[in-house]
Amino acid sequence: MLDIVKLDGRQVTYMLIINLIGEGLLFAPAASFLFAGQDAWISNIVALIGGLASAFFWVSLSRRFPGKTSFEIFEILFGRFFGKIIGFYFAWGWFNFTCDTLREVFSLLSSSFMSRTPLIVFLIMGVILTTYAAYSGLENIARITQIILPLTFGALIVLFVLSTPKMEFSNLLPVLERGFLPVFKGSLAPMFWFCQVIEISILLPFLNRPEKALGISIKAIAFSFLGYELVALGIMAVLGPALCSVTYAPALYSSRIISLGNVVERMEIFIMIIWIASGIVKIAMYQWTIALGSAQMLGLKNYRPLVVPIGILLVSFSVLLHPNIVHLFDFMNFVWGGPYGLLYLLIWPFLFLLYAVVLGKGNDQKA
Amino acid sequence: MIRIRRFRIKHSKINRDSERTVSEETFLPDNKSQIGKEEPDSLPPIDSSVTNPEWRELHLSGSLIKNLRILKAIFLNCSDVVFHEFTFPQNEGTRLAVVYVDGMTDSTKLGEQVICPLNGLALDEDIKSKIPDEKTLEYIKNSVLCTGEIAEINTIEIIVNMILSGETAILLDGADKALFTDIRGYPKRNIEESNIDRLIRGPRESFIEDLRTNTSLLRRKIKNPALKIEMLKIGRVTNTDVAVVYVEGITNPKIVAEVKRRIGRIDIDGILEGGYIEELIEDNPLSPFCTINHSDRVDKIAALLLEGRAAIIVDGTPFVMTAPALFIESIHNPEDYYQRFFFSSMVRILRTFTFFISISASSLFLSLLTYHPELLQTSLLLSIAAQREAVPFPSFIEIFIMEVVFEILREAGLRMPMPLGQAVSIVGSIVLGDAAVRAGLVTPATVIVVATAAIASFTYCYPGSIAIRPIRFGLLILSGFIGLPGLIFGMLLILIHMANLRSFGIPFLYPIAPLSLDELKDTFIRAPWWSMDKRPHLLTRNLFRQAPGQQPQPPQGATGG
Repeated sequence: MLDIVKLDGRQVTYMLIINLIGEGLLFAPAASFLFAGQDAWISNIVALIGGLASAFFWVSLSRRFPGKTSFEIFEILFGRFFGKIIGFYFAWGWFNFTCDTLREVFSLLSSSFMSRTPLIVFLIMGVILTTYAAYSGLENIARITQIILPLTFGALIVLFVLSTPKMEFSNLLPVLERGFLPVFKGSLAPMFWFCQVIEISILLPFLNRPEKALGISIKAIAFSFLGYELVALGIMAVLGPALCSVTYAPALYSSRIISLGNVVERMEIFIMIIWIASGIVKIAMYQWTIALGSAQMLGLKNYRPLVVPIGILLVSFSVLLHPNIVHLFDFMNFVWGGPYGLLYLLIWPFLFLLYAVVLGKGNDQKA
Repeated sequence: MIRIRRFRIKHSKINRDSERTVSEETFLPDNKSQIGKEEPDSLPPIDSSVTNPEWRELHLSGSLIKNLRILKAIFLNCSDVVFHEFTFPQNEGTRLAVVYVDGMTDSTKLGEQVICPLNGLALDEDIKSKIPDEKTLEYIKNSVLCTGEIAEINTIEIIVNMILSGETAILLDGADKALFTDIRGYPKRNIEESNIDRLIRGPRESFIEDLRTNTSLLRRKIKNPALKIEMLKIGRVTNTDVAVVYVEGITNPKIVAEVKRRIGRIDIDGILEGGYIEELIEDNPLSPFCTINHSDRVDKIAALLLEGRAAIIVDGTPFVMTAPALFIESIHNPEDYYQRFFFSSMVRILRTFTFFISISASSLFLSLLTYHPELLQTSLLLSIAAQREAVPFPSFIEIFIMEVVFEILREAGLRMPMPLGQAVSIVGSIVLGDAAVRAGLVTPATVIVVATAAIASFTYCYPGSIAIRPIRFGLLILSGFIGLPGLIFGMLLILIHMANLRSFGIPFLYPIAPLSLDELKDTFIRAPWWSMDKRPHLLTRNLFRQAPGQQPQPPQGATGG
């Protein structure tokens, strides 16, 4: 173990929730709106199943190897060489997704609020924050989460309440107009975000009561599901299917419409604060995860020397990976929220678990 | 020049000393003991300087002359140290000397309780000449002195320290020990109301500069032998008394041990205020936030002690420090616990709000004005734009100058001689602000925002507000450069920093992060006393504050007719 910290159940729950809703709450609905239209809320229910399955796979895999993070488990399962290859494959996935998240959070910021400031300024600013947070350790990230998450949920609920006058619930009708296939297609993106509960496989060794891990993951997925439903229903009711399917960040646009008595209006500032804050926390957590995983695979005693180089790489790769914002959002919604992401988070863990169970690796608690 | 002056002083001292030596020498031939043979001048010279503490190793010998020689050499040029010598009336052969620091001893007590009894004025004629030499010390200790505390000391270092801290030493011929009696008395400030932390309902008294008075004030609040007051001495030159105070059984012994360990580590020439110790023992020396709290209110310190904190009292300052300190303490005031809980909760929510106003109002205003005018309401935007038309500076310069001017006014109001303070604040705030607006140098909106932020910073605890004042400028610059994202960046940076802070191992943001739902009762709100059954669990192991279920109920069955 590289970092001897213990988190309580509530802290891990909060971290998982911010992991699942992070920036996803603002972007993931766009993909499901695009496919499923007014049935996006049903897509979320389908996605929920995928999320729960992923949580089950990862937690049962981790339980067979108590006190090990998933990177260490790979080495035990597949031997040092193949284990490291799989570990690096997962670290790359994490890294790639973190780059895209970083780019996504700040490119929308730069395109909708600060269009004349170069994107790189925001990327560097953001990475300074995440590097500081990741460098100061897991406990600190947990504490930051405990402050940011209530603010995020509070702001979301306030925005939901404020936009009720603009809601037109007939926008949600007709239900299942085009059958189940679009609903299923629209469920892939939110499913990918729910499946990010994979973070439990890293956090579990630091949990003070590991036996509660499955309950914690389910609780986190349930809370995030509520958030996603709130957004999917609220935004669809406010904007209608036609507008919803053409925006990248529907939450932002629906918050612009809020107007109460000419005083409470232009609330998108709150959306901006939420999404930067929760995005930063999420990226910090992932940066910490990548650093920890790489350190474990490289056999380092301390992950801290890796945090700053990873931060620098995050900035450069988030600029390099995508030529423009359209490419980025398509990649996010259809590649990550599609085969690429689900392969990582749903299919591989299922196969790993199967492999471990069939070969009887690790200690089976039921036996 | 300086040398000459010094020399003169020395010269006069030497005159005084030499007079005394003469009187000793005249007495010498009568003394039958063999010490008379020793020539006082043959003793090695003793250097009393701080850099050369050789004398610390010395011990008292049986010879009064020799002992006095040593002490006089140590106290050379210390004009406030008085050597009072006389013959013991019960035994003509025994000489006595009383040594004390003039001005630190109660002269009435000195006369009545020490000098008079020793001179035999209060004694029977019968006892005269009955005391043998070797029993003199015992006799004086048991029968002559009628003061409270008497100690026997042999080491010169301790003797010197005790004399300097105001105790009276009695040396006598033939004894290698000095008797000490505590008849200290020196001018002290009266116990007054705190000027820093003010309240409507609650005790008025506050600490003063004298350590003993301060410990007595605490003892009067917590009348329990579990209130422990451990004394330490810090400062190679100043020898300042420092007391570590804690309640045994409530304060975590690890925290007490850690406080004592860190204080014991200090090696410094002098401690003139608790701030020296604070900066030498805190967990995060580079943070703008105070991770060791201080206050001069007795009730506040007593309440913090009862919650499981340790207090550090430093002699010479009315400010008592407490550790571990939590961020939440800075929006608390002792009065919150005395007033109705609804009102206290409202005031605390207000203080939380003003905390954010004071830290970010001007930066938020600046970034909205400069980068995000679309976020402002249209009519408000038009009115501000109309005001700005006449102003020659960019908003950033305007707001920055206003903030600096405000800091100048605040500092001037603080440092001005008292009678002038009010005049300055009136001239500064009203005349200057009004004139600046009329002259078209600043917009009224800026004045309103900056003044609101400034006034808001006075609503919460002062140690909290001094952390915020430098940070504000950083946020202002950030939002001047990058607008709202810059402000959010700055606020998140502060948040990450605060979450990273620890005070003696306790997270600074506790009980918000790490979250402890039950303990939120005493954070942004103040729950009624009957519902706060437990102490904060990270601070102390002893959680039992009060018996549960004490919510008062109307008497059952006594429903009126």
